Amino acid sequence: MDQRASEQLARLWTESQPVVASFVLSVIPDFHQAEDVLQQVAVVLVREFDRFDASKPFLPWALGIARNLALKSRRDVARHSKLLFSDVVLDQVQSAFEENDDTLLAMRKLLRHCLGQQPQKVLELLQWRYAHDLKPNEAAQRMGITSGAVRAMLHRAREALRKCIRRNAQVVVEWK
Amino acid sequence: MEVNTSQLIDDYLDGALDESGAERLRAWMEADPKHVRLFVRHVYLHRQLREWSLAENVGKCLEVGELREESVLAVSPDERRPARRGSWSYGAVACALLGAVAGSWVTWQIAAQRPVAERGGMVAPPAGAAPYVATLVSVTNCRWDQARSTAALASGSSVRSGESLHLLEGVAEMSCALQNGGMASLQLEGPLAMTLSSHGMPSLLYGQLTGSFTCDYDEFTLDTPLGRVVVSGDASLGIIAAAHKVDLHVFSGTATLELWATGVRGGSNQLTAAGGTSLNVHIDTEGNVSVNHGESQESGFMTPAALTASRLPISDEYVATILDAKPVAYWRFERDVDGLMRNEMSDRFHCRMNGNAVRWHPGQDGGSVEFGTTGGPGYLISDDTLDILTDSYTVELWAKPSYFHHGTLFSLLQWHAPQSPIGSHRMVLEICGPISGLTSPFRTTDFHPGRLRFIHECRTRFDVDCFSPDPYSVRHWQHFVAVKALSQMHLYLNGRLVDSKEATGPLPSGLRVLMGQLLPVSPQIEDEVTSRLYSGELDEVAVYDRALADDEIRHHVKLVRPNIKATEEQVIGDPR
Repeated sequence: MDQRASEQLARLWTESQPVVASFVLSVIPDFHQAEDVLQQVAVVLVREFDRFDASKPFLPWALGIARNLALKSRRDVARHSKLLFSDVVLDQVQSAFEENDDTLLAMRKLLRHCLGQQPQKVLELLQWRYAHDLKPNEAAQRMGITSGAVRAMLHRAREALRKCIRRNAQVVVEWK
Repeated sequence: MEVNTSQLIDDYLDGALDESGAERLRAWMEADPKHVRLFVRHVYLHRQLREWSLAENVGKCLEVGELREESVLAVSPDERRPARRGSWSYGAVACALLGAVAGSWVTWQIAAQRPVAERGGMVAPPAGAAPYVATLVSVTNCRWDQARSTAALASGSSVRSGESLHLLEGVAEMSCALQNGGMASLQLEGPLAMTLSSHGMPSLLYGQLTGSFTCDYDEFTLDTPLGRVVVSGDASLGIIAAAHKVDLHVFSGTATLELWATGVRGGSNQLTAAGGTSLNVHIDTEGNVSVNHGESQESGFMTPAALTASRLPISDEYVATILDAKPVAYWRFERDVDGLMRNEMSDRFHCRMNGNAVRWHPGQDGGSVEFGTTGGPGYLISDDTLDILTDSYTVELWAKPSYFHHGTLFSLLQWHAPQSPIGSHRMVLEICGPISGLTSPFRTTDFHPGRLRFIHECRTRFDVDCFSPDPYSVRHWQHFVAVKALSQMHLYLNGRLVDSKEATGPLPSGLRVLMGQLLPVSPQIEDEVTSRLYSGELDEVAVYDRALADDEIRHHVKLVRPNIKATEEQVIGDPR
């Protein structure tokens, strides 16, 4: 791959990576496994980029590769767990990510603003969950409360963020 | 129902969904495509929270850098996050995001080629060798990846076996004491990852470092993805490591690279480089190893010689030309008068030095101002305010960044204490950092690694910014110009117009000049106080209340870099 193609791919990947990462996570709700798959996706994209038809959008191509690798990883790692989606629903999930609509962009822009409105205790809990990748039962052990309580706290925190983003999303769309 | 399904989605993403919940969620999603879209938004938020939390962890490290704490970071020996690459090769910076991931795959291929006993990264030390004692002695403006570096920070502690350093940006110095009195000083330049094996042997996963060694009775070894670098005696060298290649530049002394793979075409797997020479070893995805020999390039590394090699010969003619162009302010940094950098054009807009990290730097070609001489804040600020910059203005300066990092060179801000300076910027000229491997949607510069950035605020809630398409150089003097001309803004790099944007709206009055970092120290701000610290030098900074013409800018560059050809579109600074 020449330098120009490398730069083109870097740009396309930078734009698409958040969406592809989310799509993989929807199939594999485990950060580490999903991030491993994400890196495999990037490797395949590098290897196969010569075959990419530049006249077509990049994101669907990347999502297609991500889908195959995510499903393969699921088969390898979690043979006995049932995939949440049927093929039809998975198609719909993939299509929804392909659209990469304004709401997703709004989330990215507004998340930090909305996080700034959360109490410190909530932020700490989110750090436990997302930075340290503690599942609710693990966080419950650390915090000395029940797993159900952690689940409820996490849910309330995310609901608050979702409401905040919804409330402010119109502003971001106007910025576009 | 929606609240319940929202909880179900959260449970699914938290790995806490039981089978009956899964059935309910499955049925709900199959019932209506709109539900799928809602599910997608939940997942997207989940992922964004992950990125935010990792970025927050990194941000906390800034405070450590501000305090200049000696720091030790550790990571699990079971380091399963694949290595990401850094590179001083400017063209490669843009590709690092992909290369990082591709490189990890290559790493696994290489690992498979190592002898079984050596797999897992735990390589036995040479016979008779003792473990190193490594200490992180200084950190300058470092952003650390705490998510990957799991140990707590400990001021003055040693870096222990099994621990690792994941440096996203900045420079850290590590000292290694050897058993027989030998010493190694390693200067780590982010982005970089290094571990210490169970035997205390340093292993560079990716990134670049500069080392100076005094090993009269010792042998210093350092592992790279492709082989082990061995140094004995006195030596000075630079190493750039990625998963698929290693560059070894020997500036003085001798070093050997012992390849993990068998030698090229059956030859020896021990490659020796003497002072002034370099080795470039590359392995492709098929496992084929190629070796190139060349001259060492010290300018690519942070050695004292490299930092002083680039010259900025400012002639009287250049100064006269700038004065004739009638800038509003012109700081030449020829002398330090009680910490004041004088404006040559009038008795206003003199800039005060604040913080320990800024100093006046006398040199062979006259003075300059140097930032980042220590960790923590260091900047120049004017007490007077500029009131005459409106629709058109120009900021022209020469800069020599010490390394790739996110630093603010020059800004105009509408600020007076005790108000918070956050949000008071009206114009910013800055350099972007390297790809750190941890991008954040809130740091737009992450998507322009190694680029020059000019921001002009043309609306109350929206900035317009220009980026250079090519990276700036490090350790070389370069000419940066930011021009605002009525409805356009232009960015010039070494006399070449590199980006233009539409930007309507005048600057307000009452602007203060700030150089060297994004925000002045203020009681109103906390951890942001030292963000975007510039490390490097500035010289010949001029501000005009008009838009300089293209040929004027080129002429200014030619006065300092006369080897530029009239027809040459791209003006190159110092040759490498």
